[in-house]
Amino acid sequence: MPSRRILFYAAVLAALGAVPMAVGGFYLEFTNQILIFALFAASLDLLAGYTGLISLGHAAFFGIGAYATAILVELGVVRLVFVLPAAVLLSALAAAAIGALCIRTTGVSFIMITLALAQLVYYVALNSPMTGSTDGMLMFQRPESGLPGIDLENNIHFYYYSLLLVGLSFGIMGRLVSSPFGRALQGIRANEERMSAMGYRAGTYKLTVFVIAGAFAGLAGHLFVNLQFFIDPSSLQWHASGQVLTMVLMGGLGTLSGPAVGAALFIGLEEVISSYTDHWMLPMGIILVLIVLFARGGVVGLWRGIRSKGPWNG
Amino acid sequence: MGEHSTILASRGLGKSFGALQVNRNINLDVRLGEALAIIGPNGAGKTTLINQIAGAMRPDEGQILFLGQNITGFPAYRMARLGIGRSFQRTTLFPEFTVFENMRLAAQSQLPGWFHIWRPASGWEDINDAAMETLETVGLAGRSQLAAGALSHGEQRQLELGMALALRPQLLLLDEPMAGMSLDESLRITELLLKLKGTITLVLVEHDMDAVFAIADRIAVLVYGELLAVGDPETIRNDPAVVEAYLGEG
Repeated sequence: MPSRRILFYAAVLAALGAVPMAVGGFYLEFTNQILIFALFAASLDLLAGYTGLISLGHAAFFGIGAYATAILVELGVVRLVFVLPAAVLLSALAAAAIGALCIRTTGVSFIMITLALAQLVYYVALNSPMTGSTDGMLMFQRPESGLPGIDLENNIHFYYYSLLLVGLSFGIMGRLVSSPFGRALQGIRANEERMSAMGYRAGTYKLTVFVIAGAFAGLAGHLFVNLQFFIDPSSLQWHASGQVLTMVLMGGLGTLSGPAVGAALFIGLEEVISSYTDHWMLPMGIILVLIVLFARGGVVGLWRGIRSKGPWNG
Repeated sequence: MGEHSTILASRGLGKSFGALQVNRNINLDVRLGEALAIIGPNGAGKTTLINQIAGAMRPDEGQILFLGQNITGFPAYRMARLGIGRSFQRTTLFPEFTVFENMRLAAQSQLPGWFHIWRPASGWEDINDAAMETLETVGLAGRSQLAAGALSHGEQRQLELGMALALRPQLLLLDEPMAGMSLDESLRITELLLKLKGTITLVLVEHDMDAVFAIADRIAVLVYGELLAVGDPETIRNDPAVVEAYLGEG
């Protein structure tokens, strides 16, 4: 029932909006980080879950959005009206260039070529004098909103800035996946040959969604660098791409709530487990294996399965 | 030939897979509005011929003309937009989508442009109506909310045919629409094709000879990649070369 769904999302949004009233400091930053990675993971799911394009290079666009923001601010371009569109546009442009090469391939070749091209971006970040190479870049200030009373240096204001952009992005992505365009993407995932025979030019659809996903990843990167005041090349390494793909798998491929839940779960578990042991990746790996083995649709898929089988679901 | 207008023509069409020549020098005219059946033993190159006309395969030699336009080597999506629809030999549906959603996706391809993102797919009334109408045509209106993968084999074939019809093609290529069907089911498809006949041009690859002789205005016989004979059903039935090569075996 759509009205119940909208009610549910409104409740989630209200709860997230109330967070700064309840907590501050670490927990606010922690929630903000989950929001950012929820967006990052959902953007990847547009490719992996909806279109069937498993990318292992998605962190490149996240990184470009982050570096673009940090470099512009360092160059003295501090107005948000310039910084935000520039970060998103540059990520989209990079996605257009990389996507144009990648979408010619499918399956394992697609995975490998996204990985290779993203590593290229990583090496640029690693070796360019502009990016501070291995040391990364420190940001000494956040961009200026230009609006009276809104100061992004204030962590609460910045939290609402993130929430607004992430909420809007999820709204747009939700529209996208239920639109005729989104349905065509799902058709391409299920059977590309059939879609071509019905007059759909699959390449155009794939490239478009690749660019859109890259733009949203760039937006997540823009928020990330503002949250951390720091970015280094490890954020756009293939390891980071694998991590965000893990979030999508944990939460559930082919849904938008899945990546959000996956991001919260991953970041939450990492936080909890790493407070006990430095080897947090081992328990995390075991949990991932269990989820993939026993809950094919991730946590969200498991939840939906329980609900549809449950006696209370009339 | 003069009194018929030609919708599709192949000129010296050839296709090889390695050393194996699957189609050799095929000159075939399909007349506007007719039902043409292509028959021949397994491995005669019938599906390869269909695949080339539908743009799924690129011919090695020769030309394909559609309404006088040279369309040789066009990709599949362009063929579909020109008005060449096809059904597949293997059932190729979107099994996890509902029957309606399968059909809607087919009907949606008729939208001009492609980047429609601001209205949900369910909000395009004319597309929904067109999808429902085609479901009624192929007798699946009552099954619209089922997952396509849950349909019986025969029903899946009906949906397959319906999805090709939803493109409103001028020329419909059907690759063994009756394959694997029960007698009942294939009679239903025969009936449906007889109803369609005359409204669109049909090119039908089929092994079911009862269906072929019931539907076809003309029959083309393909043997070892070559066009052996083309003619009306009576002529073909009595052609000694055809009987020897194909019909006599049964």
